[in-house]
Amino acid sequence: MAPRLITAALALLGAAAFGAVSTAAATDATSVAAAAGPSGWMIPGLMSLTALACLTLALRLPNPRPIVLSIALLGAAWLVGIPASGGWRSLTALAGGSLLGVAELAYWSLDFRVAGTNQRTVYIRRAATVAALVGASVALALVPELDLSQIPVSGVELTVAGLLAAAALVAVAATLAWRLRPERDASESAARARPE
Amino acid sequence: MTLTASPKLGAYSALGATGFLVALVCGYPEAAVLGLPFIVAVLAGLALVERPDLRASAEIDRDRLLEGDDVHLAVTVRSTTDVPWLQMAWPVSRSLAARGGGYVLGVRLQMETPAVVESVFATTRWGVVPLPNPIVRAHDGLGFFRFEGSIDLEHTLRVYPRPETLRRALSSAETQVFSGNELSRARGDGIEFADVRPYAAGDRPRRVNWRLSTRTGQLHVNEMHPERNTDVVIFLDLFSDVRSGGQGTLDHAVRAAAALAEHYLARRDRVGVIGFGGALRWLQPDMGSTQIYRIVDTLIDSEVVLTYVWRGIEFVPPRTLPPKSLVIALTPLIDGRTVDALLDLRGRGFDLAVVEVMPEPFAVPRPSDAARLAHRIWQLERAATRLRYRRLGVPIVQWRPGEPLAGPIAEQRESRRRNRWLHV
Repeated sequence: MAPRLITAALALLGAAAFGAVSTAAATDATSVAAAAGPSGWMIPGLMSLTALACLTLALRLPNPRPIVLSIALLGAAWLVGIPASGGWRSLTALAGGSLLGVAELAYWSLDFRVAGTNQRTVYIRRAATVAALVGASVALALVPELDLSQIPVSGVELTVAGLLAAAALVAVAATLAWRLRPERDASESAARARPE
Repeated sequence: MTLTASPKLGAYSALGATGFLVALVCGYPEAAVLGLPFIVAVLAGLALVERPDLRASAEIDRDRLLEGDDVHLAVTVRSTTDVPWLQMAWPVSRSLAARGGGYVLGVRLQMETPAVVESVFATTRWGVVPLPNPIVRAHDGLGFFRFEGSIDLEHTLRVYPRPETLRRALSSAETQVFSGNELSRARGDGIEFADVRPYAAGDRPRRVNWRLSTRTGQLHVNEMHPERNTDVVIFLDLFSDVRSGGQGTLDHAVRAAAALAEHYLARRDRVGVIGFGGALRWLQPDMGSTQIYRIVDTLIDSEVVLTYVWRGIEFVPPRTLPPKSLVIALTPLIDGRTVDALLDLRGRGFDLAVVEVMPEPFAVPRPSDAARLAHRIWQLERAATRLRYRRLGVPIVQWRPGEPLAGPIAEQRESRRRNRWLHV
């Protein structure tokens, strides 16, 4: 089985498991979906099914555009499905990491649709990168989750803090992107790799 | 190299931003937690990305080859930075096809460690073929950015047409003075018996026909046909090329010209080439093994140059068309300038044979009544042109590309034998 098919299958399996967990969690009466009535658990279920369809479409076409919709729908299914009480909220960091993992596997499958040499090394390196990224993201996401579970979830202070955090993120991203700007004397020939 | 962001970067940024926005607007911190990994991934991608500085060199196993031969290309790429995934794609060329469909290859490039990307291309058409400059795309480790550029390989292949083997070709009406394989109509020293005549002073005794001399009581000598060479000029029509599906009349005409040149040169004939078109090309008739290389080098440079300038045969250097030479024209009979030039040649007394490279296989009419009518009128006009040639005693045969050339040549030979009485 081609590695790109394995990653596609893993992405689909991951998305399906994520949707199943969200749907199962929505059966709790304290979830947002439960407010819609006894059949409220179907909301995250339908969202997950749509997400799964989008992901399948993206991998089949292949086109990366539906992936973002699929991940957004899975995230929304999680948010409306998790109960307000219990240990579910602390699992959100893990859910975020899982979503990142599903997205990475899906993009990986699309990226490696070409033949290549030295592929084993490429796959191992990419798998290690994805694992490190997911691990780091989960670890980082756990910190605000632990903190947020102890503090009120609304208020002007929190909104201001959030806006400041968002502005800081944008500033960091802009700073990092600044060093990728093209050279001032870049010309047509600069776009070409130099022959030895 | 040009930097482009992949759709993944936008998608992750949008997912992270949406998570934060939902958290802020709805007061739902879990949304921020869900979006945070994507923001972390984007920041990691921005922090880790490096602009690669690629250097490349290419080696090919040979630069002169025949149509259908394979050329092995090894591109050595090195970079001053790590490139986790380097894709190399080959632009589609008219004359080259990648073996195994490997138009895109991927490789991992370690810092200052050269990576060799090997490709095999099959040559599909004769000509001077510049190797396509590969397009390279370097991805960063997380797949957020792409650096794209192309590599100047600066290699050129000379692909020679694969000639067809001809057992017999056309015989010239007149021969030249050098010895060769063509039986001259003149009388002299040779092997083939021609006639007998009364003995004259100076005749060699070994040529006395003793049987006839005994019977008549008077010395008679045998006369022989000498074996001489001929001058052959291959006239290639470069005014028009009817193409379809990657093939055209000119492709086949050049192959036929190479086959004819090889055949006549093997018979010690002098062979020259005229490429009659927008850009006039010519090669004076000569013999010898090096002439075939000169001819083929001239042929593979052949191309149709569009021009509206009226050109006649007077533009051809006179030394390219020696007297008593056999002119074999390979033409699709489409352009009026070629048609008139050939008729002019015939009027000047050249021994002319026309092989019509049929354009019909490449000019299929569209499925409409008007197109079918136009196609039919076109065919009638072509038939009228053929009739003009035949009325002037010019043998003309049709050659359907893809079929062996030997068939039309045999037909042409028979036609010339029948028309010999018309020859000036």
